[in-house]
Amino acid sequence: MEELVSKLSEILEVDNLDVTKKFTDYEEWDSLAGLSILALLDSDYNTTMSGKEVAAFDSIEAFCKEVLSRQ
Amino acid sequence: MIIMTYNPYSLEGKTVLVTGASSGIGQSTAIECSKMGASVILTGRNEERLSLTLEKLEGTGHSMIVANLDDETEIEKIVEMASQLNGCVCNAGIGLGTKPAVFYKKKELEQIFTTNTISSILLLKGLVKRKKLINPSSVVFTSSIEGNAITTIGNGMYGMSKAALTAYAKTVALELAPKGIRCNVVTPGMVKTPLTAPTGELTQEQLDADAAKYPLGRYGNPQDIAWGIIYLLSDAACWITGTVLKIDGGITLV
Repeated sequence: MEELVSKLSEILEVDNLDVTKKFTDYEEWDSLAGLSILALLDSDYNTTMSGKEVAAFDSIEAFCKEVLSRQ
Repeated sequence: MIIMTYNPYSLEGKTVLVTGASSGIGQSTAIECSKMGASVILTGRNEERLSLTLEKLEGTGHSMIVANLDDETEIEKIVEMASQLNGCVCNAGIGLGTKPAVFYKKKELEQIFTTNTISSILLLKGLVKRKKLINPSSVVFTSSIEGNAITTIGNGMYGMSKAALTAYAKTVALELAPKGIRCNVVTPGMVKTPLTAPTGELTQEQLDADAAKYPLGRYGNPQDIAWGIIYLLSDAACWITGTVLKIDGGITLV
């Protein structure tokens, strides 16, 4: 989980990512961040989601758990 | 008295090769060319879908060549099998989805440039070397406003491949002008084709909102682009080469 959170922090350019928040709670969340997360899933986690699905997670933690459960 | 047969936009008596003819802009171009009187040679990768396009053509004298333009030997096959041409529409193209630049992979870059740029370059090279394009004739490249007139996040690979195609078309227009071969480009805005069908990355709502931004109120239909291509193929455009015709519903004005 730590590695994924670190990569998400890098994409959102946030130092201490609060995983209890939703992606859309962050003002850094924009179309580039969304696309970057989709690309990250594809390149590093061999899985895919839609932008809508990513944004819909109740928390970043829930998103991470879903991604890791697919590994 | 009005002479009803006067139509400088007609393709009557012309033979036109269309690549990527099994769907989208290529399919529509092939169909519209046949309606304008051309004999059309269709090429595409999928025999079944290509046959369906062939069935939709009007008139007679049409044919198809199943070939994958990513493969140089298959390009050679097209060049070999093609009859003398008055026109060629280099239309085959792919998208690889949207992706930020820091995620590009070498393999994807090679793939998109091979299909969207290099295949058309090699096809035209073969057709010219084998003297398959007569004097005068017309080549039209399907490019895109992406990379040529607009830049959007995530579409860099596609845009680069299309901008490169446009740059090539201008050079080759200059080089082939003495042979009477005109080379022009169309740069469509967003057109409703299988290539732009909603995917997981963009919802239908997002696409609808984007279409509403177009000054002419909608995304393009494949026919809108086909008609521009027909103009450039026809004798009405006989003094036009190296031009880039934007067909975009006005979106680049916004």
